[in-house]
Amino acid sequence: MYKILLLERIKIIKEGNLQERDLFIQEYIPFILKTISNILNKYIETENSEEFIIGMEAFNESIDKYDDSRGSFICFSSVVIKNKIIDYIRKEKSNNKIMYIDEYDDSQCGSNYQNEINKFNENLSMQMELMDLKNKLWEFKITLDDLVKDSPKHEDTRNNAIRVARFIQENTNIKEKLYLDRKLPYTHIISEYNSSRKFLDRNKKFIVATVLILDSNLETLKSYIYDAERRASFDI
Amino acid sequence: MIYKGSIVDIKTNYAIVMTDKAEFYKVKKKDGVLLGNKIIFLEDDLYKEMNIKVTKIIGYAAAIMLLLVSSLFLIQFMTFNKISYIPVAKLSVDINPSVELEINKDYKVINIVSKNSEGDFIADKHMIGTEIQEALYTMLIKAKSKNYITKEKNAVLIGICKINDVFPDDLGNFESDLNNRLNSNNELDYVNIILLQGDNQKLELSKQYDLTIGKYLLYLKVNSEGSDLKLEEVKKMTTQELVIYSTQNRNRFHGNESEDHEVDEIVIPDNNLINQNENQNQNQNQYKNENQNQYQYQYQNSDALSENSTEVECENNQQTVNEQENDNKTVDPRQLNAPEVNKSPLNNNMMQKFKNIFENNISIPAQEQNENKDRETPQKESKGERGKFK
Repeated sequence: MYKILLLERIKIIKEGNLQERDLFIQEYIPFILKTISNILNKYIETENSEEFIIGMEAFNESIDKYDDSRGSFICFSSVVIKNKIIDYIRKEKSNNKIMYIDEYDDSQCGSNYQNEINKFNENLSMQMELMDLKNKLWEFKITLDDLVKDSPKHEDTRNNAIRVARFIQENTNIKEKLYLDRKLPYTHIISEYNSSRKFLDRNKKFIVATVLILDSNLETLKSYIYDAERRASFDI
Repeated sequence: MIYKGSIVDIKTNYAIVMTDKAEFYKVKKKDGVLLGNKIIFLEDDLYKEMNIKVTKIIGYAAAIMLLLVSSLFLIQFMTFNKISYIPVAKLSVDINPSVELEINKDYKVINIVSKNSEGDFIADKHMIGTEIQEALYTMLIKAKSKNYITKEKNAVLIGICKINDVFPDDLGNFESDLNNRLNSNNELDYVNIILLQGDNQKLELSKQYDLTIGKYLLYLKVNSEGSDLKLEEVKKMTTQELVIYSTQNRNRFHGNESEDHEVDEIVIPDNNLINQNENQNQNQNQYKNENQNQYQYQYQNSDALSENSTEVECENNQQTVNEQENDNKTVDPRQLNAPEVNKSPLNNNMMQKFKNIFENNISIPAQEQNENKDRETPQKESKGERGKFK
């Protein structure tokens, strides 16, 4: 049943239905990601991931080239993606020539390398920030493993916890008390935010970690929390 | 489902990611994982805690397997090195000290019990674990050094009873091995080993009657050969006495009809005694007036004792011999060795008398012994011809 549907859809796409093609590719993004990351044995980065784009292109191509006689579509397209990716890696290798310092010329390729340098610096500062966060968490006797284990799984509770964290972060009095006592000031939060003690007790680690992230310079992590907040407020 | 997130921490087996929904996840470690990298990952990439448990279980299983295997090896090793403690046969050794030994299927001694106070002198707990032949040999050496075995008292009574069917029947090897060992030692080559074999039932009975296996078996043997020796009497007798009695008894009932080779097998000291006793009979019957010393020299013509019909002739012969002996105390070797065939069995009257004498006159006077020894031992103590009791 599914196979017939798939074949029919491919047939429709081949006839020139662009909307259907977009939908189809969208549906198969996890598959593309999986094949690419399996080939490379590394995670695909969200920013400027050449491999992902090449994978998408290869998948798009495989739709056009697919024929009933060539076995299942999944197998066929994964082979196509694999070949394309390997081609790309080879090309990259040949382009990555060693550059001698004598040949280095600021004026010629400065901007290109400046980008790289900036990226590296960014990465380094982020790493430093992360280490800092880790140390701060440790002062509260929290490890990142604890966060994986104890952070609220349900989205609503998580959003509630984030709200509490936001409240603490905005309320300097409570925040200072938190840093001083190295534990959540339950009484203040309960009296001022009207939250149950049970809820705080269960999610204290996550709340503390969120407060620390919001108080740090970790823009990406902060943005994730903002995203979550926004999603919650707009009920997406 | 696609997750987007930033790597927050990297551990040895996994990385921790904070997603754009403010969730924290553990993901599998892949190439090029860097702190702060923004990655896309799928549900497949999530690091499963189960993995740890599975590896732990595998680890435990491996450990248990290793333990089992090693313990198996250990058990094998132990059983290989250590002797098994299942007794297969029980042995008794009677010289005058009586010792009982238990052996396992490898002929190793696993238990030693001395049956009388003298047994303690020859039995040694250190013998446990040694081979039975070795143990017996050392016991005999000890007995000799403590003068339990002398040239006169040279009978060693060994009784074997099987406890288990595993014990092989061929005692022939066992006996010959022991004999070879004794022959190799010049000091012990006159030891006369009497080997008797019984079964489990007899072992139980011997326990019941409070006798050593060897003595009990010999008692049975003696009684089967026609004597009516009583258990109480056996208990009172020393080993040497019992052996002597048995050979005498055998001589009475079987020796008379037997062929030459059986005469050869008669134990040396027993010969002495038999003849002495027989001579005593004669003395009582016929030569009451004769000097006591004289009968010692009459035994050579043992046919004379048993043949009632030719008594007169014998008398003459013996007298002449006696006269010769009195002159110079040597014996014609031919006379000693001559296998005289007894033609007629003793009559009941004789038997009764013999018994009386035996009971009264068990030990040989020291003087006589010495005299006998001088003459007798060099002739019959050739190595191969040591008497066997069958």
